[in-house]
Amino acid sequence: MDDDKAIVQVENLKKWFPVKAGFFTSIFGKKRIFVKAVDGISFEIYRRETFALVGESGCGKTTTGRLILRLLKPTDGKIFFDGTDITSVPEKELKKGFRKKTSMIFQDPYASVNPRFTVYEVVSEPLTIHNIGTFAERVELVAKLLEEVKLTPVEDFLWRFPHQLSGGQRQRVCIARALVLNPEFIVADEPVSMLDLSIRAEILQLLRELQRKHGLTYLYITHDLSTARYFCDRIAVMYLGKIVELGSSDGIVENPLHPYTRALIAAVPEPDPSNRLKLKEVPIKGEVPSPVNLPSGCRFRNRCVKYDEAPESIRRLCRTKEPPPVEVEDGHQVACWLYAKYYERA
Amino acid sequence: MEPLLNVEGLKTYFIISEKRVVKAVDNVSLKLYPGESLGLAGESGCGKSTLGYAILTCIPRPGKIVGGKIEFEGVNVTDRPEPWVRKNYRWVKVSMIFQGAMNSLNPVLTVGRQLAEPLVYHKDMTYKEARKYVVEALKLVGLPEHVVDRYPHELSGGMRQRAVIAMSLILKPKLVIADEPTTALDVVVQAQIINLMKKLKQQEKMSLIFISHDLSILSEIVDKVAIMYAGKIVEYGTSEQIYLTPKHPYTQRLLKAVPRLREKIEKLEFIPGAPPDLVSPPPGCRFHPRCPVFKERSGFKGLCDKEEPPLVEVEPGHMVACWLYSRR
Amino acid sequence: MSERAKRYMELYRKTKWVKLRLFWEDFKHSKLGMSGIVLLIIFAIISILVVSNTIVPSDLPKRWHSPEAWNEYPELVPPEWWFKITGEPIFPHTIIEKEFPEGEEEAVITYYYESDAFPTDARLDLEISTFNTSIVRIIISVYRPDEEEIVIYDKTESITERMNKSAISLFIKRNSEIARILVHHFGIEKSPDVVNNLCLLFGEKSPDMWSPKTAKPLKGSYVFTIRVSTFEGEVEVDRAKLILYANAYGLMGTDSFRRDLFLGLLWGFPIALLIGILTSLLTTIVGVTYAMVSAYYGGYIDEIMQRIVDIVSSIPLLPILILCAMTFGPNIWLIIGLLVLFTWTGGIKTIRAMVFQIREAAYIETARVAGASTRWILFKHILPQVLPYSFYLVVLGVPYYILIEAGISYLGLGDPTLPTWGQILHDASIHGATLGGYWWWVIPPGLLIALVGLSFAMIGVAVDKILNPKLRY
Repeated sequence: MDDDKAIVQVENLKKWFPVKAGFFTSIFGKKRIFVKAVDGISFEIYRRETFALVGESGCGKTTTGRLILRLLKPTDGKIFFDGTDITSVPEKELKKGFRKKTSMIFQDPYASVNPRFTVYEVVSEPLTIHNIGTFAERVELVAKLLEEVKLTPVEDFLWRFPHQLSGGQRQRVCIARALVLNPEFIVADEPVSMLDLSIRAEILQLLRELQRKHGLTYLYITHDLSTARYFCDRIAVMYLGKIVELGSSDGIVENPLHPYTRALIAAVPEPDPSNRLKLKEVPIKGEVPSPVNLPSGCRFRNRCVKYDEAPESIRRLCRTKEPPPVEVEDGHQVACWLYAKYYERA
Repeated sequence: MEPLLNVEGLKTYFIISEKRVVKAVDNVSLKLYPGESLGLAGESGCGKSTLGYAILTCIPRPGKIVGGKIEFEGVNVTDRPEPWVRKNYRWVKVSMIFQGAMNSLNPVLTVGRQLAEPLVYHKDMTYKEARKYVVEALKLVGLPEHVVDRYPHELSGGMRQRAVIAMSLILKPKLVIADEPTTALDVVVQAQIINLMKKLKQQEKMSLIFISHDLSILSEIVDKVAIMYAGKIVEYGTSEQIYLTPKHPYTQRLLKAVPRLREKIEKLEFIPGAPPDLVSPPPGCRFHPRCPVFKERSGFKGLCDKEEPPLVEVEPGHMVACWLYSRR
Repeated sequence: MSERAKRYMELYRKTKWVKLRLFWEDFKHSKLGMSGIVLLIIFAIISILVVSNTIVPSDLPKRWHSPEAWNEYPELVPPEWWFKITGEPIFPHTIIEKEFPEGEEEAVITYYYESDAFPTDARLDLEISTFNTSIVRIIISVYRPDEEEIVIYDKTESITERMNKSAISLFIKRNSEIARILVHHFGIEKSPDVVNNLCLLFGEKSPDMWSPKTAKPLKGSYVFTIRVSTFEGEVEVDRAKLILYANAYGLMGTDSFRRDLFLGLLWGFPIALLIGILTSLLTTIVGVTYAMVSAYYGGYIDEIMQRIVDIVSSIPLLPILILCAMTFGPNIWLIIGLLVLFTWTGGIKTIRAMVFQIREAAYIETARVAGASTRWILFKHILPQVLPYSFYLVVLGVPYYILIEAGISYLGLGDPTLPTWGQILHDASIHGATLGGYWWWVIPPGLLIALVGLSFAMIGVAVDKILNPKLRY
């Protein structure tokens, strides 16, 4: 097995949610309305890397995470895991292999744990589902994992309930549970956004240690560009269901190509007291359009500040055709007609 | 000059049962002058929200003020009966933008109707008469007139938050308390709202208390910062003093834990441990179990873990509560 | 297993029942709940005693509906303690039985009258055997302490078989013949229809002796003589029994069928508890499972299942019960079955709402990520959260179903072979117990129904206060 091969591959992935129409519309109306949460994205995640999916609420990043883990069935497109097409594999098949190699860490450490389960039950649930080990063996394994996530002394935590733990401790329990089946790929959906600032770095450091130790691959979903840059190797920026830019973390932040990425970066505050003396300039206009009523062509054009400055030839493209992704420099791709010359080259 | 708001030795406890009393705000004092904007910073459970509610005399049950006083324009509002407070103080002199308020707008009433409510109650207007003022308030926050007749679900998150800000300003209060007003918003919308608040601050010359755990956001808008930990103020000063020359170990560590987008950071700092239990907080300085100075430097054992450090002035206007800076 | 693992297992055992213990700790604080539990324990003990036949004969349900089993009990009399409270004199229930092994042609039974009260009825049973005769004459006379002798019975009976054993039962109170005899004997100027035979028979001679309000018992020895004679063949008295019915009986009195209400009421305990708990349990199990499945799958399945619920819950229970009772005969299992069949829809809405909420929780998704099947999620995650509320439904359903059964029995649709409290109330109402002032027939069963219902309701309220977090402060 080639270690550099992609562990996850996504091809033109789409997920459209039908909007429930009223009784009469469903009889007399002809068009069915969809929320196009994910509308044709393609990317690869390589082994042992940390890949970030960054975007604001409604951009489709969370849906993408769920699609990759097959919690949802895609409307179109393909998903490959370790070379195998898992797009429409039935759940029973998935349980045999895929489910044991993948896991997820959620945003809210309280809500992602059954409040009636003890810590042991939470962490050992995957073992019990797959009927692995005797009760005693499971207890030992869980104890080992609790030590790995630094919840010690283990006796203090094994039989406690989640509400008796702090937020950070609960998130460690979730991490321990995500590791229990020895996975290769973990989706982390905003794992630190509900934790206190002083603990976030601790959890991220723990995740990094575990990654090195177990050779894990992470898909890190967040709206916080700062932690994405700190924690991840590569970042994909999403807007309204499409990837607008993809590249290395440093590359994206230091040399943002897409106007949306530039706006995002400009909007992120930093702890600098001189900020309060001037208004923040964010190069974006208008509001996020309704996901059921997207503009034609490039879906960002109504908010794009570069659109007004661009020549008519490009503006026409922006109005009529959706820009596909194109590679501008090594490993750094963008989906924007402003980089038309790269399209011609390609 | 007389301070607009004078909080002295405030103690707000949550009495859950006889044995469980959560000391959410424990002996906090601060002064706010007209036109000033103060940031209350701290992590979850430090008491900053409770302090905000206390100033508005609107503490959720089972919390109550068990000590100290809050003086607004020289009047002790903790002493006054509820009807007086309702008529003369709450929303008239001091208003609040609540956490997640954009989601707690009444879904069955139009925005205009909700904004008009304080006017109808306090100024005895009818809803028709109030409409004029409502439109004015909406314009102030950059919302078009037609929003008056819209329902909350018809507006985006950003627009709703603007409406909530308009609601807090409708009676032209002297002080606005904003409790995490941008936490639930996307970063672009957040920047727009912060810009709006900056404009309003200048235009209306309103005093502002901005409560947030996000030190980055605070730096965008406040002139002074009070860092809270476990119900107490541990450091207080101007933004420059706090951000550029933090003195308290907690503040220093907290600032190092903030991820910065525009710098390449190899390793983010964190503070091991967790905020203390407010029912029985640690003796002495409440931060000492997690304090790197206490752990690594000698000479503090028997001091930080036994006696509470007082707030002392280390430079003009800059106060710290830490034994590093006070003589024993 | 390593040493550490053993330590963990030890801890596990200690903390295993923590959830239940925490609940019990909370529950103990509720005075209401504890009172309910205490009552329930009392009822359970009574039921166990009843069912194990220690205080009640095991064939009581059968006996309940055979009048012959009760004909030695007084009719419609209040409990004994009632007269002790009111201070009125009690006439003790007296049965004098004499056997004549040799057979007598003249049998005698003597009774010494001591009480200050009159009996509510009197009865004389005879067993005579005849041989080779077709006609027998029986004369019964009473010799009173005041030396008055009255012939109260003088009849000739015809016998059909050669060898015959006959039994004759003479009830005195409602016997109009005896009334006429007595009125005539004492020269009372009243119609025989209005006089009280027992007062006349056992009362002091006076013009007012015909009414219990004005008569006074004549104390002393009463001698009952039974003479049998025949023309040809032989006749003799084998056995004679004199029953003087008390005016008060037992702990709970008797009803118009002469049934000892105490026994009947006692039997009501296990039956009420059985019906209530069984029906409630079955209904809740069906309803909760249905709601869980419907809400978890959602979509079309949920729509269809909910429409079925709508249909079933709009079917009126009473007409169906009446129909089935008339077609198949009222049978307790049929009633329970019908109740389950038509009332399982009770708690569905709430459980469904709960499941909808739980379904969206993040930990359900984590379970699915780990590969959990639908069954796993339903039983390991959703069911335990729904269980406390289901328990609450069961507890609150018990008084509900006890009352329904009582109501059904009261209307006459109940299982007549079972002495339930509802049945007792039904009989009472038919016999005009409320109008007649026979409070001991009406109040105790009603009170018991209310008490049992109350005990469950109290437990239910206490449980609700603990499980419903909104009521916490």
